[in-house]
Amino acid sequence: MEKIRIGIFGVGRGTGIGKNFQMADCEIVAICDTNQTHIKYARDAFGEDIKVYDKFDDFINHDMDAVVLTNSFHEHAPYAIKCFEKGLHVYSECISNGTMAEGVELIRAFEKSNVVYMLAENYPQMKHNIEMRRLVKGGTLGKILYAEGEYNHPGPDNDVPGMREITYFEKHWRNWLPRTYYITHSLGPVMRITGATPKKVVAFASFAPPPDGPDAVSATRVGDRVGVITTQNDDGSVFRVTGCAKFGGGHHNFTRICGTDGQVENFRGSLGAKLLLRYDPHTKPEGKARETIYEPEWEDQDEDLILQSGHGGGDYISARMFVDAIKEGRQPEHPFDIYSAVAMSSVAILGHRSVLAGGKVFDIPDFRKEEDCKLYENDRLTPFWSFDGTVAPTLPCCSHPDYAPSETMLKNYREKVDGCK
Amino acid sequence: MDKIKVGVFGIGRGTYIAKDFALAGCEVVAACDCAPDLERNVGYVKELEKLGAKLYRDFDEFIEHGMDAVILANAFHEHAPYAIKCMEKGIHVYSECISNGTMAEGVELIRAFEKSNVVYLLAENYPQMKLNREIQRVCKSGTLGKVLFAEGEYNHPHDYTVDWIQKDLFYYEKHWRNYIPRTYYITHSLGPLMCATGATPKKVSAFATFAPPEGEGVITADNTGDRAAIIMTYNDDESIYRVTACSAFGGQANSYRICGTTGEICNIRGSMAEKILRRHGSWCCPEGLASETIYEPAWNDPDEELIWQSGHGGGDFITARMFINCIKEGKQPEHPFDIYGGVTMSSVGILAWRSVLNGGEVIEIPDFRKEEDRKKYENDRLTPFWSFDGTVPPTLPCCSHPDYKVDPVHLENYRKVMSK
Repeated sequence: MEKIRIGIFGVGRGTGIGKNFQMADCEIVAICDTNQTHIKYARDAFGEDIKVYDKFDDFINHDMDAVVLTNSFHEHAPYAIKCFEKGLHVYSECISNGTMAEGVELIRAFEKSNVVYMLAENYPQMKHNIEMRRLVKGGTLGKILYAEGEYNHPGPDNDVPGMREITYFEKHWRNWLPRTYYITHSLGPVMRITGATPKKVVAFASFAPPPDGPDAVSATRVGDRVGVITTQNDDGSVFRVTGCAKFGGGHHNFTRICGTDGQVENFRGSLGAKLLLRYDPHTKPEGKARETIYEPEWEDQDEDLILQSGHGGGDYISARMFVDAIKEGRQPEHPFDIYSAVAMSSVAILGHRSVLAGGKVFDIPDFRKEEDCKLYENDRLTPFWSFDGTVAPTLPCCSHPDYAPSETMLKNYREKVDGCK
Repeated sequence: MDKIKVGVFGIGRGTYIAKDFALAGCEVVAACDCAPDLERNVGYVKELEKLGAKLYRDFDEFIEHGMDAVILANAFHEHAPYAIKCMEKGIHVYSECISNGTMAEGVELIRAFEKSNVVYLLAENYPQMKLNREIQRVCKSGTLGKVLFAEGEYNHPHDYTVDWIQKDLFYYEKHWRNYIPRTYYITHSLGPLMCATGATPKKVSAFATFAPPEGEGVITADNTGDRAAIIMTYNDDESIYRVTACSAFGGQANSYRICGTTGEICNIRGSMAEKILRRHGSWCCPEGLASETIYEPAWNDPDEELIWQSGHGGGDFITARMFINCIKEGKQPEHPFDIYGGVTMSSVGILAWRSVLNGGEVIEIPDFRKEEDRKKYENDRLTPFWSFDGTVPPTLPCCSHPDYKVDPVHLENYRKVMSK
């Protein structure tokens, strides 16, 4: 088979992903972006001759098989739909859809197409998560009752270099991102490990805005530090996850799976690569210890490539999964397929509605069903500005809807950060 | 001051507590149990007699015995009516958990307390475990910053094929343990968090996970087909708790975690459960401290030798001591051991169950200091339990699947074991 030809839309994050597709023996044939800094990254990675487009509608006419969507977090869906209409396979960064209506449109367009769609959620492919899935499938934990997923990514307040790198203009989606939306790093692994799909969601957020002061620098409208989300799932289990949390204990990714007979989790902190696997005396498998602490192995034929990849190896494995799906003419497994991806977005979006409504419980729709599509086909509420900054939010992004950074914070941000890229 | 005279009601659990009060310098003068027969408790009767307690079989006679305080260690869900009788008699109350089995009882308890002049303490002992005392100390030091999120878990699975557990803890079909919803036994999870952070829940939402025991060898009369409830609260300080009540995941452990804006602390589950993991981001690490430490805390308590003799990791003695000090100093216990904290914890357990039965619906936690909140619940007597004497049936399902009934084969196994 000839090499799969890939175009990348958004080469900030997309360049890193593109390198993983090259490792998976694909050819990067075109890129689309208007940010000159990011275009330089891409030229350094893919060669000065890489075809560069600044308009998406021109880009998708380039002769290629698949498109990587790594544009703004909340704006993947409209471009995915255009790709479907062109018969292009889609590898979409998270989240699949920024509004509920987009989720409906995405599914409807997908069902008319004949392409592979994959949500590029890479955390399930981290070594500890792969091992937990192996344990669950092995059955020794029993029936899965409860799982936790946590993506904690704090940083200092007033981090000007950090802001210049990732929240570099005032209307950047990260400055308007409710604490439930960035959910797939927490939710994706537990869905992958257990096979479950959420059916109901409840969420609360904890408000603790960055401190003000003469040197304070901030443009974020999100005064919350964490959204804590519980879901009841189709198999009767319960998840407790966060979006991107900002607890002060330092960065960690954490997963825990509890069954009737045992439980497994990874450690937070410096022991984070190790797993803690525990049973009770009456449930431990024969020949096994009641408690084991260990670091799992990759046990993957592509370990050399994985170790070169980003996000703990997840980037390469996710790319490989997409490539295999295209070659074999099938959709990816749960929860990377489009229905699961839209379910994850729904948990994020409706989780925030729950926060704003004081913890009201929301049913997660199944957009395979027309009656569920009808409920949300006109629901375009969004906490974000459009990427071009012309269309304003229609929903508060904070549990305290009136929260805004002070004039001093904004003034300092505008002087030191705004528009630097 | 003369020794405080203490009576104990409910001599199963109560005898252990009474011994801690004796360790703390009190005089155990009376004991009462209303069980139809005391054959299974003969050992406890002897121990109480050794302490000098006179045995009663009727509560109204018991509280006429000259005493300063009563330990209520009777059925889990029936402390409140007896607490009220004690309050009316001017007797201080040391109540095992939970403070009230129904919302109406919570209202009655508070109203009776406010007319009285007694000390009331909810005897929730897990905050006094060494690891929780350390977590409190660190939390109160302020180095974790503003508390955002906390978790508490009391995970206590058991082997359903073992007969002695049934004889010891689930010893008649209508026993409260055979009807206890998975949100009710909440204070071991919730108490330590409320103690460490000072917060009070204001809203609750919960989901339960249904997985009744399977296999022909199972011995049980338990009508609770759920294994756990996951309970979220939103609190008065805008923090969030995630707790279980008594859950039954595989892998027994008590675990607690507090996350703030500048750090987090937890104990490690499993064999390292006495060890604390404390972490701070490099940009907010207190001076002189590493950004990550794993350590086993010390007791740092003048009564350490007495603590070692006590039950529940030392918690029983420390809790008894707390109550005695309150009586001596004429003050109420600190949050959350005071009556308002106690009733709040019960309300979270009770209303979380309503949330489970209503698909996770969020429910406000009342403040029974306020008359308008009392009015809402003063007639709410819904209960999942049989009365202790077995005459008054439940008025609420005890399982998230309300039609669930214990497997007839399992029930038959249970009846055979109990008949031996």
